[in-house]
Amino acid sequence: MQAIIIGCGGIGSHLAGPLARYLESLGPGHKLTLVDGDNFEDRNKTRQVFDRPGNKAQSVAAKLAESHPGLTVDAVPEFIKPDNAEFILDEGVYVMLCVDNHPTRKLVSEAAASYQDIAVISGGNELEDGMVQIYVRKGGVDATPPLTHDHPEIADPKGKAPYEMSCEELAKAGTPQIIFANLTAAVLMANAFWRLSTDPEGFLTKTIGKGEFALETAYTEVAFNIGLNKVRPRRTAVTTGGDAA
Amino acid sequence: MNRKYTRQELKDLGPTGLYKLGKDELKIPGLASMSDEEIANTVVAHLDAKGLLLQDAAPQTAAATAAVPIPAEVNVSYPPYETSGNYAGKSLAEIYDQLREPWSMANNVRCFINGQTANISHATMLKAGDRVEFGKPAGEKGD
Repeated sequence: MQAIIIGCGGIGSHLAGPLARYLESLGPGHKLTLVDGDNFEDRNKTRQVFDRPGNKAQSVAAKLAESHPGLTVDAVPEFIKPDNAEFILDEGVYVMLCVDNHPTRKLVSEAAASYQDIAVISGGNELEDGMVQIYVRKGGVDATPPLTHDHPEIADPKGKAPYEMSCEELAKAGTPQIIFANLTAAVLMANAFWRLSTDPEGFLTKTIGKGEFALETAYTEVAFNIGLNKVRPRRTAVTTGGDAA
Repeated sequence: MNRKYTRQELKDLGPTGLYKLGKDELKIPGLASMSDEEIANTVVAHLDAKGLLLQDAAPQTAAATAAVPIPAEVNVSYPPYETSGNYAGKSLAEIYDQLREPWSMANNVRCFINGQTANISHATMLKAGDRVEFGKPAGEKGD
């Protein structure tokens, strides 16, 4: 099994440790790849998990490789962008999308649509609330809706992706966040990963609608609010050429 | 499938059990896109229509009734916020105006009634049993 964490900051740096520990516990042959073009700075210490400066992907990967020798850990010290997405994504991988902007979510969702079997689990938060989305392709069809479905803010994103920003713009891009919102997103993403990777048939059950093949899902997104301590999953059925409703 | 159920037995099944009963045994399509409350109502209606819904021996408790509710109210959500209330007869715009501040709803949110896109206007009237969902934007930050 291969998992790819794209974005190793507030959410990704919290997710990386438990995900590495879990993958290593499954035995040999599993791989975790970390992707991020940004660098850790002192100001990140208030929310992000790291103990050495430098590129975020390389820093987290170096630490995990030391503490989890039974797991293959790779780092890609670049932002994902249109001209490198195909070299980062692969068939059968679990993409843990922990970025801080909708243009990159759109990019990854659209890139994933060209694969036969792939899972994209995306997490994002505002100050107190946030959402985890699950986009799964199975056998060349969408088993759950893409990240852009029902989300015009992702389908038609405002602002720029990090790879489109100048250094000055990147430095100013940060907005206030609470570490527990990052942590909650990471945990909900991990839960979705575990369920999807251990019980794919239960998570994605086949149904027949008007003679066409269709897939239904247990849930496709999870909204949360740490101030209320509320978490609410939401299901959306996907039809493929037929009507499963 | 000929087994008969009381409402208490259905309550004891819980949301997952009701979903499996409806999907695997009653073969009800479309459950995956329904809320737990809608699934419960749909399963009860199917069992009742097939004569498979037994009356409970004892008078129903409030808890048992709540677990398999009759859809008299309108369910409104802006995940993770959710409420059910006597909103039937009110317009969608009234509900939006009432809840947008306490739920910190974004401007220009999308809205769905029973899964269908709806315009937030005073001409869109709600009826008992409707499921109203205001579209929650995905969180953007996290890095």
